Amino acid sequence: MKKFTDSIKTISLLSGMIILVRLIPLIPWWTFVIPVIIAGMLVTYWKWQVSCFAAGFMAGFITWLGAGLYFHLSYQGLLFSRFGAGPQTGLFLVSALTGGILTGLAFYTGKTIVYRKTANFIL
Amino acid sequence: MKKINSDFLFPLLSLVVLIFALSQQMFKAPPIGKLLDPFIGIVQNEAGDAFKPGTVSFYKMGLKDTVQVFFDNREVPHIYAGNASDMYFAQGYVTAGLRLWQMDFLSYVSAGRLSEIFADGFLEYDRKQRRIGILEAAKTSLKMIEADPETSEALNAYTKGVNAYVQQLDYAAMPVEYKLLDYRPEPWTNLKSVLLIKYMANILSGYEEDYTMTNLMLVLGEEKFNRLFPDFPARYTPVSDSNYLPARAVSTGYIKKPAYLDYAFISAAAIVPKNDYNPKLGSNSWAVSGKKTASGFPILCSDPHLNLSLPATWLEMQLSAPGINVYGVTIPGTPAVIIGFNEQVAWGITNGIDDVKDWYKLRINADYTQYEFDGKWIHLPFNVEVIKRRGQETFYDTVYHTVHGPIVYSGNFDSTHPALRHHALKWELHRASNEFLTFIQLNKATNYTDYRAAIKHYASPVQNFTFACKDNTIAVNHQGSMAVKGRGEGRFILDGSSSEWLYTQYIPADSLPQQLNPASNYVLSANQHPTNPSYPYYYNGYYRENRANRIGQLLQQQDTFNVQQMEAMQLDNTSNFAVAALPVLAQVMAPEVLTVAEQQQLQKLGAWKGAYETDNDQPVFFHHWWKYIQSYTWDEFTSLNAGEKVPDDYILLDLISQHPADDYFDKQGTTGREKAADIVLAAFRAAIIKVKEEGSKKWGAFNNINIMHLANIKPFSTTNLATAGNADAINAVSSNAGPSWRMIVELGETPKAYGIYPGGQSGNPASAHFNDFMQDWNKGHYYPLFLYKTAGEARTAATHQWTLK
Repeated sequence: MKKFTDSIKTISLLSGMIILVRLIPLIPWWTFVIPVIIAGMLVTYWKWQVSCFAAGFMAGFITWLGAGLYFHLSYQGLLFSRFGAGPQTGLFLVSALTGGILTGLAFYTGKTIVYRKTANFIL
Repeated sequence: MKKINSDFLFPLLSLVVLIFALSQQMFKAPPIGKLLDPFIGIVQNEAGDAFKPGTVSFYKMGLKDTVQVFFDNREVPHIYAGNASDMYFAQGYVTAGLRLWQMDFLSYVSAGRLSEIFADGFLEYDRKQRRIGILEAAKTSLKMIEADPETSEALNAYTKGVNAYVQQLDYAAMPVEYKLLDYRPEPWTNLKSVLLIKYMANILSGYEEDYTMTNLMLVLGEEKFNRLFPDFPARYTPVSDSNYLPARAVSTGYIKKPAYLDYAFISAAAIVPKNDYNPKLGSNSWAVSGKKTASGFPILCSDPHLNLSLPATWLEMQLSAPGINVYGVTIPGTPAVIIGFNEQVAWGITNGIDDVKDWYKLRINADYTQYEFDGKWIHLPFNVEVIKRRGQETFYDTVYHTVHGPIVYSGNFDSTHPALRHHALKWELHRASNEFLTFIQLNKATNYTDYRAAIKHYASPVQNFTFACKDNTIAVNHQGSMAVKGRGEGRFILDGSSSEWLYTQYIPADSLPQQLNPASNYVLSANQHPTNPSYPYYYNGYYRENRANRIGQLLQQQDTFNVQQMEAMQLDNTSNFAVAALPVLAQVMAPEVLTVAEQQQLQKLGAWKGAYETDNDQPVFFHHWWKYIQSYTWDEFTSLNAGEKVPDDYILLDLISQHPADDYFDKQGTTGREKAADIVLAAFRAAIIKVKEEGSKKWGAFNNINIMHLANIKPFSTTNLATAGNADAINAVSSNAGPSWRMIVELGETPKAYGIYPGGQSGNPASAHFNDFMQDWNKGHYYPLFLYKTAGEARTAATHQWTLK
């Protein structure tokens, strides 16, 4: 149960951080991975029970997909629709995977910087 | 026990490598990470229109006054400024907001800089653009333009306006094409605006057939050449029908083979150069005096034809400042309205299509340092074109120049043009000119005198300006730099070793072909011959007569016209040639040899009135029939090294009706001796088979056009548009070219104007205004164009507005 709540907490924390960082203008697109790495370190320090890559991946996947869909729907533009339904889905999926992999990897990196030998280490 | 350990190195390294990879172009794919990041990537381009509803104020832009921009429901900006400079600033700003990528990209296309955007595949193209002298010509013209205070003020303000927009763009807001092609907008410059004018000049005056004609003159001999390729056709309606007395025979008649021209002179074995230009681009414009209209006020129509693309060539706009209030289409990247109207006058433009591009054969010494000119050996200078390449070393291209112009094909450049190797190119486009000033002054013209003063600045390429003023003055002018040439000079490759062939004089402005208030009460231009043969100067060109003949007939037929009738004329799909050819061809066919099916086909064709309508299948049959007649008759030409050039349609038609036993009808490789009737019948039968093979298409399905995105991005293109029209009809839609803007203006107390172009105001594919005019354009609909007299009127009609400070 703790693992489940910790995972939810982690995903929420990471999503919030990614969104906050991405709202800062003029910084490179990948800078959100830095706070994610720090979060990985903190979570290890706090002894949260999370599978580090998977939780990071889920957070990134959900955030990128969610943000993509949010902007797509709120702008009501015709750009994606010009590509057709298939490629449109593909764009969202590849975007979500990119966000997921980067966040997962960054979160895992943070965890590996500070870890406890005694901790139940799960990938 | 906590401790820092080294296990993080591997994931960290992976992360860094991954981020690096996702930020780079790989295998021609754009950088995935940046592109698909929802916070800055392409999903941000869904924001669509750059100019949101509501009042937005910008400060510190360096404007003297506040500028109001009102957008109407078609996203046409109506700009109200306190002075001309602010007005051009706002034009630049708003144009960049709507079309930044297009104007920026075309400046690269024109300058020969595509290798900076695309990693490979464009070096030959860039070299060609540099070697034909476009970039250098733009720089030469810029000097002249910047020396003129009026143009300079407008252009500087325009450039500042574009840059005010560019500077505030971050990656998220950049047009989607920059993201997909992975580059950034560079600051706008005056030179880029000039490059866009030269880009148009290149399209409009790039076509020439000097090598082909030289070769044909040699192989056919003078007599046949003059018969098959006469300077003046049998049927034409010139731009200006003035009679010059006493008629000097210089402009017409027999073209002699130049004395220098023999087989030693031309590279006879060479392949005919591939032509990069479309000779069928055509445009129509006519004006009818109030004496011939229902309202009593003049009506002016203009439909320039160009290769159609998305974003569209034109951008509609109203520009208003004290002393100026004008509406029309602009070319994104250049100041002022190009074709349009104000409260007093309206003007239209068609291409002059004169031959202003000539090649000179040179004698160059072995080490390429000197060339022979008037018996002396002269130093051969060169310059080095620097072509920057993406991800590759800069390419340095040496271009030699003679007194005539650049030597385009030399050294290791382009083995596809051996025929023009070591030839110098002399082209009017190279000379310094300031076309902007014409448009800046035309925009505020109030009468014929202003109009004449404005167009006198227009030099290259030669254009027909049609003009109408509220006071019922109508005029047409064949305007631009026309060199004084001897008879036949410029039709063939010229001898570069003698100053005899190097023309330096130009026809004085007052003597250029023109017509003012003719007795017919109308003027017209449609890329036809500018004059009749009595004109005292020689000129030649790639004129097309069919549309002008048709327009002339239609205008003559009726005493009064209204706007609806003018719309019908612009949309007229009838080819005069088809109308003339059908009875001649039917006459030649002997009914007794035809099968029942063939007779039925002939009857169906007889019922067709020569109109290329989408739902009719007869135009397709006629198209094939005539193509076969041409290829069977001119089969000798395939061995003449003439490229695809064959005599004009009417030459062949007259040959069929007047000389049915001419040698050309005898097919090569047959034992019998064919006559016109045999050819026409054989072609008829071949066409029946061809039509069957193609599945009996209707014209709309056959004349299926694609309007491609400028970077050939298919989802942003409009493809498979079934269209009516034909290159020889007034509605000249064919392959990817056609009416790029249709405009009709009836002057009066308030001008009543209508127009449409294929595309939409926004260059952003996410916008509903990206191609919202396309279907209406194809259906032949028009939109009312609103020239508001006051800012208040414009505000009332606006869907949203902007304030620039």
